[in-house]
Amino acid sequence: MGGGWGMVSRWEYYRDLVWVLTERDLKLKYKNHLLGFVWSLLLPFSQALVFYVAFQFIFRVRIENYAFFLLTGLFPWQWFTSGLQVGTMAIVSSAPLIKKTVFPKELVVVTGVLGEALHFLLAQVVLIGLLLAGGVVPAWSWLGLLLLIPLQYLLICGISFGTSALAVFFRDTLWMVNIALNLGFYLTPILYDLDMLPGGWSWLLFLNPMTSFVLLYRKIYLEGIVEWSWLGIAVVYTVVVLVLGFLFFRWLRWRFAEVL
Amino acid sequence: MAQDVVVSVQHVWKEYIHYHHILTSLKEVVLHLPRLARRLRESRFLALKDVSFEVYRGEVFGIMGHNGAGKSTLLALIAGVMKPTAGTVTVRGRIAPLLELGTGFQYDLTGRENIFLNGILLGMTRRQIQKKLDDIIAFAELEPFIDEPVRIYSSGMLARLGFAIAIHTDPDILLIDEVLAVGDEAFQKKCLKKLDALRKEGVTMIFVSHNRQQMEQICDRILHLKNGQVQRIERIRQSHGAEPTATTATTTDHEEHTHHPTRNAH
Repeated sequence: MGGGWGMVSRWEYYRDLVWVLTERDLKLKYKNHLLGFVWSLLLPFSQALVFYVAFQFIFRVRIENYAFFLLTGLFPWQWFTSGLQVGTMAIVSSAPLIKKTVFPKELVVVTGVLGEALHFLLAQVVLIGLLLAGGVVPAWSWLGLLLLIPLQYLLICGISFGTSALAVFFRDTLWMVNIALNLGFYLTPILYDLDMLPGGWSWLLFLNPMTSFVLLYRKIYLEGIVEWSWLGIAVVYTVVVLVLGFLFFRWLRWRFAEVL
Repeated sequence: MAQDVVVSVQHVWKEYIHYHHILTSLKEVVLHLPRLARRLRESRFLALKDVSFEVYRGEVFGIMGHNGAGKSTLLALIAGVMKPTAGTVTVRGRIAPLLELGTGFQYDLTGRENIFLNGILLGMTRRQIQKKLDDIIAFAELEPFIDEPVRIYSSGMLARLGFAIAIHTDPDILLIDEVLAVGDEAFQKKCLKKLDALRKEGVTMIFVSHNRQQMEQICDRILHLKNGQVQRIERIRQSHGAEPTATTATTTDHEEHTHHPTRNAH
């Protein structure tokens, strides 16, 4: 008996588990949706359009190439937002599975964010197409994205570990997350640049972990430079958030099945 | 022989805190902070009190009791979805809970997609499921509907699907929670026949129910649970599986429990 359980490699099992959970998230998201993935592109583009009109023609912000400036910042932010929203509700929305079966519960959070990461990757392909069409010259520094994107993924997972565990006990966690995201949007240099703040105050923005990420993306795409000091900040934030979030999650994990 | 024990429950206590009595929302917490400590104490509830028993390989073991007696808690502890407050639960082998109605299934996914999802959550790989897919669909008698979302399935169809998935995971121990109460009579018969065949192969089964008649028909031994305590363990018939000499061995002090891979996986 045991169906050769011992012979099956753990790796194959976990790979399949991640696959099936991610597939579930994506399928559930797009069942009965006409445009599917296109919606997740249209959202940042429509935002970009609004901000472009507002800040270019009404407030007359003097930033070179403002459309690309906006897009390079809006896409990572959009992923941060959607990833956190999905991640926060990951445990609650998988309640039946968690109450009934035994598997590493962390995986529902990790795969929920992974589904949003796939959207982001596709969006980046579109963005790169636009940048190239707009005359931006690709640089070797773009390879830095291969480091930056996984880093942002881990950051979102880290926060989601915390918020998803909290959401089991407080169903209004998502409201708090959404309010924080709303404020966070303006506390991240997406619409404006770091040097537009009054002298000496720009460091305050770095209290927000997403600041370094958005700046990194933008500088990589538009200037072809990986700013190592920002990358250092991003790594520190990611590691700290991931460790704290994971420990918090582990601490509460055993209560999930009782509370859900 | 201790090696024949597949499930060992030793001095298990389980206390719940009814968080939702206390933590309905953050507003409540902030407004009622002073009262929180008191309410936390009042919200504790002992679901199981010093429960001990052992289940032997190939045995059909029943857990009986009224609603709220602690049956489902006990099952959840054996399945490994919860941890006991005190005491130990040791399980040897691969365990498969039957998916009840309304749990485990994703209503917007098709029957086929749910087979993969649940099969993997129960510990199979995609490859293993692929091999058994036709058997599962055939056993559940769902060929025409397998690519429809399960939200259109009747309760009987869902019960069949849940049963078909669970028995095809090659479990060593099957956990069955009131599940046979649903589905039509013909399918129930088919299930019982299949369970009989599995038992002959050495699969251990743990049934949970409040239906005495049904339990006496199928179980070798029945544990009677009342208010979270073991009242008695009743022998119905000689077990088909191997079993040590003691008839109602409720507590043995063998400390040679091997650890359990399923439990360590998370």
